[in-house]
Amino acid sequence: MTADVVRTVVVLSLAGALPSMALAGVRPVALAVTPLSGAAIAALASTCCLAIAGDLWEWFVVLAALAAAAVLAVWAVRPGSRPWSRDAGEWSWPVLGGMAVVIAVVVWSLRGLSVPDVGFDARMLWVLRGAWFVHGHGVARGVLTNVSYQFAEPSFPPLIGSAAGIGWVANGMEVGSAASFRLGQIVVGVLNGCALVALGTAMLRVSTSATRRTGHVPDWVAGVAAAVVAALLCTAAAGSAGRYLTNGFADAPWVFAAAFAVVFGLFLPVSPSNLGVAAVGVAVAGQIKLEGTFTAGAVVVLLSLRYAWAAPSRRGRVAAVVAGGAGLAALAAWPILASALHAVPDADTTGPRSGTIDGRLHATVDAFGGHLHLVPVAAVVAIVGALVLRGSRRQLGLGSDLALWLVMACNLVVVAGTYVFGTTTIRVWLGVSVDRVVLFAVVMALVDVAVWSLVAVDLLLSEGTRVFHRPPVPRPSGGGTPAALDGGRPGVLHQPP
Amino acid sequence: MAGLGASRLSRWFAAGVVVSGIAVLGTVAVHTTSASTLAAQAVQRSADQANERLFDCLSDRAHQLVSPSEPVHIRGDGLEQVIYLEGSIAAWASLTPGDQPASVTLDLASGSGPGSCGGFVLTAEHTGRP
Repeated sequence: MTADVVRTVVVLSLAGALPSMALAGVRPVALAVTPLSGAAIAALASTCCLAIAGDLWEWFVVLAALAAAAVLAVWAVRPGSRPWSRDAGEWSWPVLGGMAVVIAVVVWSLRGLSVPDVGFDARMLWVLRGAWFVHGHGVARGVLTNVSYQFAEPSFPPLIGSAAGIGWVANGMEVGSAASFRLGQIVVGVLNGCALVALGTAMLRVSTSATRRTGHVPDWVAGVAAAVVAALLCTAAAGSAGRYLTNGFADAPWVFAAAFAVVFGLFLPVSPSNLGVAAVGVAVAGQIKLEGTFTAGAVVVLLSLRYAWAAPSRRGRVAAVVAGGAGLAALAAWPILASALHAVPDADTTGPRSGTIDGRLHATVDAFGGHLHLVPVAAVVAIVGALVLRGSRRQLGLGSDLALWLVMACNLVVVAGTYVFGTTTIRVWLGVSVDRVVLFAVVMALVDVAVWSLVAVDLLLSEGTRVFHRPPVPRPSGGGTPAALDGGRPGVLHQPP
Repeated sequence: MAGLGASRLSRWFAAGVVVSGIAVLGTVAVHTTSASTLAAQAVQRSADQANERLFDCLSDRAHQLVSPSEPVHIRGDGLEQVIYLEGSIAAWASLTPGDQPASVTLDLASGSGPGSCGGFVLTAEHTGRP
């Protein structure tokens, strides 16, 4: 099985290598997003398989080749876009050391993969759907409209099954065998691990030597602090996912992908490489679950606004808006296709509704409240941070965390709305799913706490020097030491430099 | 002095944010990886592993009864059996809606004996229709 997993990850990584390098740059985080890019290409291959003809593997090869050719063509035509010319100096020892710590923590978190543990939904929904795309267009189209498969929700997005399906084909596995589901479980776990490493690496980039204020503290001290926070964040996020991290469920992969998209795209300084990493996160999160698609859409809108706002020219602003529109269209491709092909409707949201809207709302709010204790705590940290550390955050080039709260609110509204306006018996539905559908809000709360902690660390590590170097403030009258008694002329007492 | 005082206040708040942040992250990390949490997860894992054994056994048995290309109806004593059967064969069999003809009906019923899976017996009823 180990060889099968390695082969699968290598195949996904080969497909994702050049696009990842072009988007994320030649920097450590590209190692983590490369298999994720391959998985996103696999999901796109399934969409093409369903829409046009052929099977998953054929489209995967074609799309991977097209993506690689497009990247090479752009690099040939526009040498300035080559990532190794724009990302020089990203391989610093503090980042590499911090990343090693993050990887160690994530590998430890994934120890559950050592035993066969294919969750019920992984078997019935997420990994299963890969079989249809491996069999090809005819089977995929047939299943989509066949009520006998309604239990498997054929209209749900395809990434998890597609990534597993690539593994089955690459290893010549019998589709539907015990080994194929076990491989699917591990592949999903590996994707989770990659997304977590990307999230942890994002924390290492919050405060870098390029943005940090000068101080007496050497880089490695700040690096250790960032590594500790990143490791704690990854452990807490992985722990919050619990068993869903390693049992083939679809919740953790989209949540972690959306989380690193938020940090790279909406927090870290505006740059092509940070935008590229965010794009990979959005592409992954948007093709796994429908709430992930909606949430990724919200991230795309905010990304577009942030980059349009930061653009120096009207042309740049238009480009940001157009790119955002294209991103939204790409995210909508699967849901629109499934609807256009008259997919079997979601069993949980169609048919006669059980209970009243009011009763369902109360049950949903109660259930959410039992799992979102962390959100008000994060809100307090965010308020204190906004009041006290706003300047430090701005100095680090970080975006406002208001964007994070907007994305979280959007996610919660979509999920709560689905429960309230759905039709399945609400108590049962909440009982089997609420702990994992609120995972995004929990991880966002953890991320916000982690980022404010790093901003505060930056202030503490540099504050002594900053106070000492505070620029003199001329005072027209009153007490205190004048900035310069003579207006700066030589020969008189001045404050020390 | 006012600037220095404000700066000291900022440092205290920053220290508070760091301490509370580490405490929050650490508490969640410790709680979610505690022995009691992992024990609860192990119980769920055992249940899913038992389900998987049943799924795989039924899939193997169904492979002996129908070919992937044969249109299949499924039937069970109850909803639970139908779901088990769906999850077992949906990756390779050709499930057919009840209002369309199928050449085989797979029936899952409680029982034991040779070829049974986890207290269920899977049988095939060939209808002769396409």
